[in-house]
Amino acid sequence: MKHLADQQSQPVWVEQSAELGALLARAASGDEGAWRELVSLYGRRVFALCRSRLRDRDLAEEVTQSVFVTVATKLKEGAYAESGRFEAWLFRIAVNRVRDQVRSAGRRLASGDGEMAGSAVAPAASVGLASDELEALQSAMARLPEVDRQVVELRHQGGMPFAAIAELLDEPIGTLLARHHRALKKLKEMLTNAGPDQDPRTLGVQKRG
Amino acid sequence: MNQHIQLDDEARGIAERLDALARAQGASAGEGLEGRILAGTRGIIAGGVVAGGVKSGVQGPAPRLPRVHARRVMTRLRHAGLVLGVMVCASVAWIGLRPSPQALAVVPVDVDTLLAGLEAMDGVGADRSASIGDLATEAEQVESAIRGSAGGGGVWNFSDLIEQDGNS
Repeated sequence: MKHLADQQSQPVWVEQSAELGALLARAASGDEGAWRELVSLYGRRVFALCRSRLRDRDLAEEVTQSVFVTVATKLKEGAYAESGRFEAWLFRIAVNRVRDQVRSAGRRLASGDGEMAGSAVAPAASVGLASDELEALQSAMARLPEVDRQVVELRHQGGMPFAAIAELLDEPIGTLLARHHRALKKLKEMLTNAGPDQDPRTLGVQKRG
Repeated sequence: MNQHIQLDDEARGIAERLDALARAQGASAGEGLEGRILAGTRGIIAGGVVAGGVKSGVQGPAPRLPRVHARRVMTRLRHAGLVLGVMVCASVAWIGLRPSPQALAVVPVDVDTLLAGLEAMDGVGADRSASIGDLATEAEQVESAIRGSAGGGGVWNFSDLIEQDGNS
């Protein structure tokens, strides 16, 4: 099985294979090495998905930890039987956990406790793009329709194959492929319209004006 | 189905940027992310921790309760406290507004006074009954007088009136 370090230069793909099933079985039986391998494979992908929505790094890490606590508990209880759907199961837990957190944060924001307001994502890692380009891209993503954004995040932040996304969202794979392509076009249009001197976060306001 | 949709150059360029953004977001957790996740879950995988409890004989550190969970618990505690506070306030308000025990106390009644009052009421009732009896007697006398004037005590009817009118 490919290790995360090998996957970071390409869109992350982890095959749903007998090897993964064996890894899950070993982890469920208490093999810490197998569990460590699972965390290495999926930890940062789950974190990236959480970070895309939650922005606050510490909060994203806490949610990621809670996701893996749930996964470990379910594996130990035998609540998950591997049938080639591990990624859909894992990321469904993550998506639901992030959604709960966003709702909770929304209530806190409404009551004046704005924990989510600060700490916009400012990745320091060198990934071949300038930080302002990453900021612009993230701002454009935030303005995508929810259904488009979800597919983009699961595909790129989660590194999921479309088959697993289709399983997770319970939608035909063709629909998701078309939606993903349409979302990329929208992002391109937003970034182009924003221009080099224009802050894409204010694009919607300017268009309305 | 072929999952590798054919992207044009523009879409492919955006997809590559999204992958770069995802890598940057993943990397922003720092080097120790996996270690921290493992530290929080090792006890569960080791087999001793089930649903927040620790079985005996477990090796390794107990999982750290994420702050997210702690915050959720605190929120629920706050809600429970709010409900309890409302119940206490309602109880205090009820105690403050309810009638005093003195107002609810039974006042002793003098039975003799009560009976005298009842007798007086009976006397008034008897007088009124007598008055009604007198009125009934008067009504009977008037009716008899009318019948007598209409034909010697016979039946008084419209035919008699017509006949009397024709004679006149």
